[in-house]
Amino acid sequence: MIAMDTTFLASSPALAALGEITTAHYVVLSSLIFAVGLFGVVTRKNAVVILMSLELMLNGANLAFVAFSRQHANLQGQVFVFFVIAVAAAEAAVALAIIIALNRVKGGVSLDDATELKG
Amino acid sequence: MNPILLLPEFVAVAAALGVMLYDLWLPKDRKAVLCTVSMVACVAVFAATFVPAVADGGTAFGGSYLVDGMALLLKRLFAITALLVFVMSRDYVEDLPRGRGEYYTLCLLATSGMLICASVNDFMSLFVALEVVTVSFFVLVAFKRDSTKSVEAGLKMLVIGSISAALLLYGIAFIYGATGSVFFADYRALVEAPDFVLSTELLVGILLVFLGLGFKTSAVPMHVWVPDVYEGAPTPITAFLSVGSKLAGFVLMLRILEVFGRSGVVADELTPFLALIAALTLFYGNLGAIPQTNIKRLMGYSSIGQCGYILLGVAAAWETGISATLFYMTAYVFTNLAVFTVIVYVARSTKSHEIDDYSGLARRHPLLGAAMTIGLLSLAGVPPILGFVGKFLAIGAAFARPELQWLVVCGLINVVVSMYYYLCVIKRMWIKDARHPADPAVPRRVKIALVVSMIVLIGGGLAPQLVEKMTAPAAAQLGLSKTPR
Repeated sequence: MIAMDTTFLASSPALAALGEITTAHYVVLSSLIFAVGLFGVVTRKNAVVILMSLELMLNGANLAFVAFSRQHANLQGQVFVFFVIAVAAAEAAVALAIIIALNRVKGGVSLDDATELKG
Repeated sequence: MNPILLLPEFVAVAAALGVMLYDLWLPKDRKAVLCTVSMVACVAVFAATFVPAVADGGTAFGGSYLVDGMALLLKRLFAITALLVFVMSRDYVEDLPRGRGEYYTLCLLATSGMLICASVNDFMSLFVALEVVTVSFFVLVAFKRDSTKSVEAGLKMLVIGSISAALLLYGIAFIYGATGSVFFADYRALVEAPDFVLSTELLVGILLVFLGLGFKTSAVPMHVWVPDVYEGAPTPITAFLSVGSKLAGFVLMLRILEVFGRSGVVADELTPFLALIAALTLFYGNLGAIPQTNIKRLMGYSSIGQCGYILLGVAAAWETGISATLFYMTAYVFTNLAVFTVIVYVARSTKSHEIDDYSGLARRHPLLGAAMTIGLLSLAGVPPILGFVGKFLAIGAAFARPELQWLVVCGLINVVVSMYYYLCVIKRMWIKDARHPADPAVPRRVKIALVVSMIVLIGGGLAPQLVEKMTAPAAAQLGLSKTPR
């Protein structure tokens, strides 16, 4: 495992106490971001907040890609992230259009408004 | 480097962009021309897969694009699916107040994404191709933007679809972390190496990828969107979702299984997981369908149940299982599209999707009644129809694996359960009196499509070796062993 450049930590005793920052730290952080996003999607009612949480999930995965890319010292992971950013932009555009349509027909963007289909 | 391999995709994308531009010049009352252009494009895509340079197969773009027997078979199925969807769309789209050109453009873009899905050979193309299909469908599902049901269906699909895309992506990140590559060729070499050890990281990654693909194939636990979206979406789009989008998910599952399943270690870990998912999907779909009163919801649950049978073949993987899965998918295309064509045209006259409104359909319109009956019997798996052979092969493939015997029992129980709700619809059509005396007007091209589908379903059921002649070599070409290890 290639260690990250940690020289900048010397200036901060609190951070230095953490020791060397390895890929594992980044992966844990990425999984936390992913989990926060998933929690938001599951618990929130507002469609716009759900969209924000979805972006958080994708960015959690992006962070993992970049960390692994650094660990393996190849660029495939970083290139992948560019594709993900492009796809996420397209997805957000469509999502906002659907939310606007929901607002027009229902007069609100809460998921509580979307309960017509069930059974 | 051999870009000519992408000829079918080039045709589909060019047609999508061409339709979008042509739409700008067409007066409002002549938009039906776009449907004709789209249908011609599907035939051209189908023909393009037979061009020698494409049909010979090979790889392109540094090995990230692969054309083999399985890819070609699926490309042909996708072309047929899109063609039949356009056949049933024409009158439906004419009734839409706006956005006719966009409808065909998005359908063709989704088709191009599916065509690429059939050939992906690295995770970058996999993710982008899958999202091309998914994002096009988000728009198509919410297409009737004045209808609360359609918008709500779009929102639901968007939320679940994006969660599953994120899970898939996180899985890919783990696989990349474990192997340092996103190319399938590297994975094949890695798992076939004698010193290969399966790391937890890699296994978690593969499981997350299967979970993400489960959204497309409507497998439990990513199935929750299916009944709602199938009910709310425009009916031809429901048909497209239930066949095209689902097959795209399955071909990716088979591809990943083909790549990682080469190692007996990975296969041993994956088989129980896939078998469990298959069993849950079977029971959820078939039990959920029983109380339904809306035909589109019924088809939604039925589609989950059908996904369970295909997963049965996927779980039994290796040559016999993949061959059975490809056969099932071929049968499924014609079966489900015949049923949905009838649903579209019945709803045009009755303005309803209630199953009660199918009463007396067989007497009211014998062709629609016959097509619906044969389609539903094929879904239920009644001999001598093509769907029966598909179920027989899938269950047979699972039966050949001693550790999957319990799954065979689940499959057989569900055949009986599914028989009940399919036959309830058939009973209404043939025995009950008609509620709506109105005769659904069916144009000639739809009649031709229905008759051809019925001929394929019955002819293929009587002579399954003709269909097997296409599916078995595609599975054999993957170069896997007949059974694991």
